[in-house]
Amino acid sequence: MPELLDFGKNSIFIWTCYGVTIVVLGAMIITSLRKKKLAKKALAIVLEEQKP
Amino acid sequence: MLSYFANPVRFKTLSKWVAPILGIGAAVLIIPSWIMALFIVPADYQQGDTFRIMYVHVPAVFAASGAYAFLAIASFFSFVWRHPLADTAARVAAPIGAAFTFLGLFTGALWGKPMWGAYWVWDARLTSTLVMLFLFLGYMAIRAAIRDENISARIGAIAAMAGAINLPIVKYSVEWWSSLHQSASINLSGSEIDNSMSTTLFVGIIGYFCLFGWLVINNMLSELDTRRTRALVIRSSDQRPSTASKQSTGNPDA
Repeated sequence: MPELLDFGKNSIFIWTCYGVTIVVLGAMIITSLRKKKLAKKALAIVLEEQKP
Repeated sequence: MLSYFANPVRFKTLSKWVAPILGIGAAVLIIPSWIMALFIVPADYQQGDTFRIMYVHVPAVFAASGAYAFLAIASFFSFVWRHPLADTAARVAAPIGAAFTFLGLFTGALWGKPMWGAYWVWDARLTSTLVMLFLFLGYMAIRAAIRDENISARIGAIAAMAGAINLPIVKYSVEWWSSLHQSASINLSGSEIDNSMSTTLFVGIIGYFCLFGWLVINNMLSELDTRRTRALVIRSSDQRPSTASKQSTGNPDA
């Protein structure tokens, strides 16, 4: 396994690229899901408050 | 067709079907493409293993350019027909496009160092991509700085449409000017790279576009809920004083 992950002297460049990509895409996905959840929750609270 | 889906209720109904398809599509395309890129595809005969950066660099730049085209088209619809949904689409697409552009530039810099000996050169392709990042950031700054929603949407749309001139510059910069950046390896007529490499790359590119679509739809749904919440709060706060005044006039002791 370690030799599978070793890309020689340029390993650092390759793994940094994939690492940063995973972090940025992951952050976008998590932020999007959280935003959607919070927006839904806020709307539900307001609708509940305004029930006649 | 587009005006049919410019209705928030219809959009929400449609997005219930489309969003999961795009989300699952993104996961089942991006993850295997990375596994293929890192462990299965053979090393390039000239660049060695460094070319594996291509599988995160090229899809990011494609998605960034696609995101800018989407931003410009949505801005056009928002500007001409004043569809609030088109404006919402433009607004949520900008930060996603900026993130993809950043990834394209960052991975490109890390690919450039071992290949060219420099992280950055003021080459036409790199510079025009950097300009694209600034266009995304500029659009976001305009939308954040102007409080009036209508004026903010109009000015933002003009800026986004004007910035679309940069898209053909990004695409054709390697042909128009002498460039350190390689010319296009894949185009509509085919691919100059080996099938095993180009298939993995295509899978990754489609996956990134699915992810972009999923993020746009998800963020649009959040924005629509937030706007509805805001409207309900404003309406109820507008009704409260009149209710209070009715109560006060109805009470003889008041």
